[in-house]
Amino acid sequence: MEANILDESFSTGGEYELECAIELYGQPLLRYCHNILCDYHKAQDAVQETFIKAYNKRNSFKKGHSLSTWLYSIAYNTCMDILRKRKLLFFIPESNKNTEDTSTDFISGDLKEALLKLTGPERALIFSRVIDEKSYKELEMIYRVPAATLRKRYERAKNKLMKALEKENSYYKRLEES
Amino acid sequence: MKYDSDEQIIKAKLSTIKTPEYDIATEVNRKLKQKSSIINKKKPLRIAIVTCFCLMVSVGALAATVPSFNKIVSKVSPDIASILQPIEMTSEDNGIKMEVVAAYNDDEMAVIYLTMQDLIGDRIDESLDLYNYTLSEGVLFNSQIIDYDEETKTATLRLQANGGEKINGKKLSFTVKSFLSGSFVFDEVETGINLTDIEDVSSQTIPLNIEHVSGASGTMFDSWEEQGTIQVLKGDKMNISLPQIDFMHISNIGYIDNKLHIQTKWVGDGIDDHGYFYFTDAENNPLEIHPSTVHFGIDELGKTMDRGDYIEYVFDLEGIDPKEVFLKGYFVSNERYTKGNWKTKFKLQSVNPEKEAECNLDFETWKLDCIQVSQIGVTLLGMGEYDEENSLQVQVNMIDGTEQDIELSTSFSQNEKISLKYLSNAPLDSKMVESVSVNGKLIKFD
Repeated sequence: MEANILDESFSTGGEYELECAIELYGQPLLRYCHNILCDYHKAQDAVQETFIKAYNKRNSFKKGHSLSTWLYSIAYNTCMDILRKRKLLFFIPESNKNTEDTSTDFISGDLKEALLKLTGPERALIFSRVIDEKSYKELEMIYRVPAATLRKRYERAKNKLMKALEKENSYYKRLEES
Repeated sequence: MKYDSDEQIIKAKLSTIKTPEYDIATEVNRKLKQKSSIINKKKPLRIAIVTCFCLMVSVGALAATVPSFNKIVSKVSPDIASILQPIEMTSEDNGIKMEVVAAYNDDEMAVIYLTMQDLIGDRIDESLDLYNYTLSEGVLFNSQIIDYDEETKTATLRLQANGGEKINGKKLSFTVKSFLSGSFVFDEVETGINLTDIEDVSSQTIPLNIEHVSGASGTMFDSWEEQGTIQVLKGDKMNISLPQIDFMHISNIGYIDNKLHIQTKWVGDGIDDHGYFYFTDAENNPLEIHPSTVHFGIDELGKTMDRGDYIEYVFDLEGIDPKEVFLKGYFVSNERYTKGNWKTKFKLQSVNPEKEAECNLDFETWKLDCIQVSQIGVTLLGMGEYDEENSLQVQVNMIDGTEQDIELSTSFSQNEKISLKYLSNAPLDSKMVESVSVNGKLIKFD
């Protein structure tokens, strides 16, 4: 099913429309969540939760609006909830934390270190602009923040990430040299 | 999109992230089916038979040899274990044993791990919520259950207290008088109320003397106090029940002075049945519209009185299009309320000493005059009115040149005294802290 047809039919649709939405947006949303959370397994949870919320609340989605924007907005809020919960679990028994994804199979160690220097919203913004190439107009709809503010935040996040990447690079260079 | 050189580097780096594909549709379908079966599951009523009443306090033995402390240590990360202090104080009453197992602290904040175990019944479950409890230091408490062992009927809780003064080395007293269990949470409750239907209805009201109410909260409270007597909706003009909720209903709804009033009547037995209404947009995002509330009663003649089961939620919806927002609810009901007297006394001493620096930074509505660094994080102390909208960027600079960004965890203010606690993700070695940057301004420690 094409995106514009799904924009029209999702709110009144059923399981078939849900499957179409997952087929169209599932993997891009998984990549988006993965970049925000820096944890593949949590990203899987987030993307599942996103579609479950969207399906349960499909009546509130306005026909003809962009389903993609709506799903990204839900995914973003879901990721922020996960990050907040992780923050709440600060200093409590390790067994109760969802196991941290320490694997570097998906994100190389130095890149992950650098990304984790950014906040969740900053990682989301960087990914949306650089990889997803979303316009500020679309981002305004997803993040509910004026474009001018998003521009400033993006520049700040970009500089922060570059600084972190330079630091990680020099650290690894030093290691290699030694 | 045109990329500058930095963006090209970032794009190249981010493109190396591997996100393997997997079958999202199957997982989503499975969870959707699972969820619908959970919603319908109701817990059986469990009746606790209380057969004895005794109170016993015992002092813990040497920490390293005591299993409960080791149990906690084995669960936390090595970083946390290194600053955790054994307490091991138990108190038993009403067939329930409370044990304060371990803690860590600085001068302003204490985190305590405790267990509650039902020795004779089923009153402790995974929804345990401390109701009436006190710690002799600190004013802002937060307790959460972090583990429940069904076999031993033991719940482990983490309690955080902020706003204490010079906690280090002080003898603290921790008391639990009652707790709730068997709770049910109902979130995203659809009220089915369309605001456009009630927009033009002129509401019948009754006067309420704000000095004689059993509770009130929210931003409108100050103006209510100034007015002395406010108007609330006439009681029991409606009976709108909400899905799955039998412990409260909407007893009236309407507009008074352009503000939306939702009157609720709480009819359940639960001692702490509570909840609130909120609005979402069409995409189900919660909106930042918070009600003020007032609690009161209504007598047989229809006049207000100070005690009773009514809560009126008052929303200022100025500038909000009623067609664009949806009224939802969040409600909690508890099945059991257990009373007792569980009391322990213990002393706390943080592992690493704190560092402190005086400063004089002006943030318009308040002044920062002292910074403390402890193993837990950074505390900013000041005077004035803290503006939550303008949060501060705080960074810890270590002697070895590394930096740590830390985030605001709690803000506390009383009588213009402000205390902001920024927590570190791992314990800080305060001896290695050289300086702290607050919004880019450097404060050095001698």
